[in-house]
Amino acid sequence: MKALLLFLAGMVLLAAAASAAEPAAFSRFEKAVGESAKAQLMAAYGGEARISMHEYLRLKAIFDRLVSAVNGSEYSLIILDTYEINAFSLPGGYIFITKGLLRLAGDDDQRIAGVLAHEIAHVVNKHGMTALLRRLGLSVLMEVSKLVLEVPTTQEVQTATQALIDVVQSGYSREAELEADQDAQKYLAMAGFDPSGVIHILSDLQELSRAQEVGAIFRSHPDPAVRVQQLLATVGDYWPDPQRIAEGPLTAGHDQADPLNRFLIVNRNENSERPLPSYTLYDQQNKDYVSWLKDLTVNDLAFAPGGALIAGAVWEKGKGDIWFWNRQGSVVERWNIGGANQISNLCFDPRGTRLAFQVTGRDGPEVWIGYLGEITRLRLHLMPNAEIIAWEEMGIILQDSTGAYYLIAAPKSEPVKLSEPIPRVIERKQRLAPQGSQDITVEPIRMIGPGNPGL
Amino acid sequence: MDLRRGLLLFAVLCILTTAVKAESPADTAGGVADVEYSDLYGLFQLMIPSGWIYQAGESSACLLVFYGPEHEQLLYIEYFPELTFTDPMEFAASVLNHYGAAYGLNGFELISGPTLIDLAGLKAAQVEYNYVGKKEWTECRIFAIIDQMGLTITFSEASEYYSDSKAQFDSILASLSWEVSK
Repeated sequence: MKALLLFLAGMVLLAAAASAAEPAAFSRFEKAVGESAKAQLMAAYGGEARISMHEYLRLKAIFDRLVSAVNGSEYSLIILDTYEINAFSLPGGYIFITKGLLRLAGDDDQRIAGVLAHEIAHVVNKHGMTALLRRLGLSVLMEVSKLVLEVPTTQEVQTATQALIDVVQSGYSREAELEADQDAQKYLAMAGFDPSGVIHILSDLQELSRAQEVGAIFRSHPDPAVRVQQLLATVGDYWPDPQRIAEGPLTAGHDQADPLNRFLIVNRNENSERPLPSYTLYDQQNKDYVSWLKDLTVNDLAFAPGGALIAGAVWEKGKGDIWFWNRQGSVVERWNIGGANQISNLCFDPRGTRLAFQVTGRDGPEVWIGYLGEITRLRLHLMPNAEIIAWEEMGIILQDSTGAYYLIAAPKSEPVKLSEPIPRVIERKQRLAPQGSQDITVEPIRMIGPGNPGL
Repeated sequence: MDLRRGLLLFAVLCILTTAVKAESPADTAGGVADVEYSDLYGLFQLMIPSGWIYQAGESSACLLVFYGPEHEQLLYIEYFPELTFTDPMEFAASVLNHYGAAYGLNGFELISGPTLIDLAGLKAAQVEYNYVGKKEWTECRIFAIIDQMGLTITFSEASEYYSDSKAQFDSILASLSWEVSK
């Protein structure tokens, strides 16, 4: 106990001395240890990977946006040439991500940003140095305290480097990981990424950790399920409170018209005494009601933009869930919202990747958001007297009983753009002609058309 | 038929045959004539020689890809809407910086350029370089800017055949016109 108190007192004194008297000396030590550990870790993980120029530039653009958001200057991004799924950081601003983790994140910039933001948070919070000091104990305090006055010796750096590699390979503390998750959400929002990105990559890791396919660092981290739950509890904070707006949505109603004009939403209870609606779809092509909704109580239906998906608030066995069907009637996704609450006012966002809905519980209707294909479902606000009526580019629009409109603006999620266009470099592919067959010359089509590409 | 009439008829037939050959530069491989290609956005047109194949599967709204009949000949044209550069030489220099960077093209080696050229009346920049992909490649790339739309026209060939094939690219480029017939 006495030793612990001494250690803590020493830490406080060291931090105070380092920051007040000679902050650059501590940074130098951090950098020296990080640099030394970097070389050893790179060797252990297959060295630096060579990825395609465009992939690298996209990754760098994400990284630079995050670094700029945290006002960081000395950060380096290193891609490791291994398919182990892993990412870690070192004091001095060295951020590592493996090819395996990049492959897992795929082309989802928000997921990649989530990983990088988490690692940057470790550096900002000095989790590496804190863990290092904790591991080396009081002895290092004596050595490191010299830094206030002088440059560290090679021996000191080597000792610290080995300890740091042990720390990195065994993972930071549970508290450090949870703090990095929370800060990652904050940095994502600051840099114009979706704060849910870190949740989505963690839920991927949650799936993989069951199969033990992730690297040691993620296995030793706190259980991804715990981390996801913690992040889900706070991600709603990045959605601002509803703001009153002067004008309503451009299109009234919440996605109740089939964009492909085949199905009509019909309320089976329209002429009955029952208070709740029960919707079905009338197929104008087959001139009949669809069979797949026949035995279900559906309190609301909405078409996704483009009409490929249909969302329904299904009341089954005393609880409300949200189901998604394709146009052939197959259920492609089910959200278990939980509880005996009525779900209504389903509304897709303009890209069809998220769904807003209202859950009416004991305290009244709440506004919820869910991400299609993802784990993220979050309660945003209690809006006792308002209903969701549309989700437009500017956000979710609600209307209260007096006719006033409110807007809940979604967190800004700006696409990653390269600062300068980089023309592609293409290699001619080998022709796949069957043996003995002759090449067929296909005439280029004379194409004339209006418009601009990609606009 | 007397000899004079016979010679006259032979001469007429010879002239006619020559005229047909001149009008129809049919290729020996496919027996198909050159094709006047107008791009999707009405920016330019050029003659695609017979034997060159438009690669629909590799092309997109911003990329046109053609394979030549010999070796590894490849022609591809990429569009860049809303380009911030106004000078094709600056556009080319910026791209070369990326190609030559540590994350850039493997084995990148600049052969020539950027050189200012006249591309059918428009100022453009031309560069030639080598890089290593699945094999060693040499590319000649033209950078042009027309109405804030960037355009790169690239001829690519396995390095060992580049000098043999370059003339074909030059003839395609010589046929380019910015006036598109509707």
